[in-house]
Amino acid sequence: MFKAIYRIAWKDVAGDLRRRATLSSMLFFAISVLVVFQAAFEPDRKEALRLLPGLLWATTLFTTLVGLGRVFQAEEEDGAFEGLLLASVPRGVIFFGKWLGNLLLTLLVEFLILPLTMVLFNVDAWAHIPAILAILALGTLGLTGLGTLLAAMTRGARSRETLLALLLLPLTAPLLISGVQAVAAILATDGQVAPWLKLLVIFDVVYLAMTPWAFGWLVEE
Amino acid sequence: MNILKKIQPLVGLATLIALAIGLWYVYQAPADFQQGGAVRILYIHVPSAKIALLSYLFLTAASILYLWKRYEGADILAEAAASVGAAFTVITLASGSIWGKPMWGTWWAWDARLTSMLVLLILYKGLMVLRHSLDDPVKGARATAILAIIGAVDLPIIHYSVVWWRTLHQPPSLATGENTAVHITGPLLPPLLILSVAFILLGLYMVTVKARQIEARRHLDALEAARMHHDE
Amino acid sequence: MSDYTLYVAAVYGLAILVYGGYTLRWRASYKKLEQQRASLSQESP
Repeated sequence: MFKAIYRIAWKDVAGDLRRRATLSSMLFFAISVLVVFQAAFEPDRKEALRLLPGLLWATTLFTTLVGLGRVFQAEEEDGAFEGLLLASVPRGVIFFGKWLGNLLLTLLVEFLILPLTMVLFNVDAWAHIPAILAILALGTLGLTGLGTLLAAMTRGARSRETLLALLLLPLTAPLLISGVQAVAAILATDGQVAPWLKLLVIFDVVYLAMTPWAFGWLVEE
Repeated sequence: MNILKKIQPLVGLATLIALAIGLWYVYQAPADFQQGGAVRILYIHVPSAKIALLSYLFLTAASILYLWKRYEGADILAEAAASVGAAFTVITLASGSIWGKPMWGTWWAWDARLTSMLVLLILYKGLMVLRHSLDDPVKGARATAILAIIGAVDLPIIHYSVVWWRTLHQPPSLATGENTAVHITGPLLPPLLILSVAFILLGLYMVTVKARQIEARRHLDALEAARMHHDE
Repeated sequence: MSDYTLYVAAVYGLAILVYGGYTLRWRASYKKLEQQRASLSQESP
């Protein structure tokens, strides 16, 4: 079973790395968002430190939308999605495979934009990088789980990107709140991280438990 | 759904009677000594908020029934409940905002209830848009039902995350907690209770009206599709 | 009446507009759809 999940995920990730299509669009989209934030707020060093948690999470959320629009793209282009469903693989395995592929790409982008944000905004928080990355990764588990389901849900929908944003952003309100507060607590060094980590874990568990089941209902004929 | 046709006039009549009695009580009710006449806004706000949430519960139940048994009627009721719930959510937000201006001195506060209500409104809108952006109506119905269930699980998490956020992060500078938001006792209570009942009836009535309209549209679409097929 | 009359009137007005407006609109739409259906099924029995 794990082998099948891994195979589906690896097909997506390796294919994308070879073409660098999704990864580079996500990365450049993230950079554009950061430029927009810089131009819009022009924070000085102190403000930038305060804004950093929000900047990171807002950029992550918007960037995820770019990646999610393409989760099922390969199958859509050659009509292989129905073939994938017909193959004797359980629905949950297909879902986790797609999720894992999207998760790996999103994590890669996050790892790249975190140092970039610190450089672009002149923030000196290099010592906290491992902790911040861990929090980003923790939130990304549930975020990409929910996102992959919504991507499957909006397959073949009109104006899909807008629809994805409309559906994903309100549902991720708890993730945004707890993620931003957790990073802010790390940066403040005397803040409380534990309650926010708890909320992030709740979010992850709920979504990763619900979405494969929901995916099964969604694609059932 | 024949049952809707039968109960619609009854529910409509009961709604009118209950609304008339409730509004008469509102007219008679004394002004609250703290809030003055502004307390009359709460007679609309509180029942609307209840119906906005009840509609979501109804919508979730209908969605589960649809996924489980594949009754088209359940899907029609779910679609109707989304439209009705959105209307009640809009009034909840607008009346809360108008009440907040004289009471809190601001149109908006990011407290847990207002924030959850705003997310609820976006969720209702998302359900409506999702259904109509998929070409296959069955796929649209199924996707919408699944999203409704996910939203039902998410709404409590959203509510509690905002509560935590407001209490742990920065204690509210405005007293927007349970104490001041709803402060209705004694002689102010009867109109609220009667209007709550009236709004439940109103919500039901609106669901029956909307559900029959949706059913008529689907029948017409099916007829047109059959004719097009016949012409070919 | 107190100074809040305007706020109260705005809320009651909005409620009537939204609840009443949607109900009437849906009823009118239902009637129109039923008429269309009747004429359509008459054309092609």
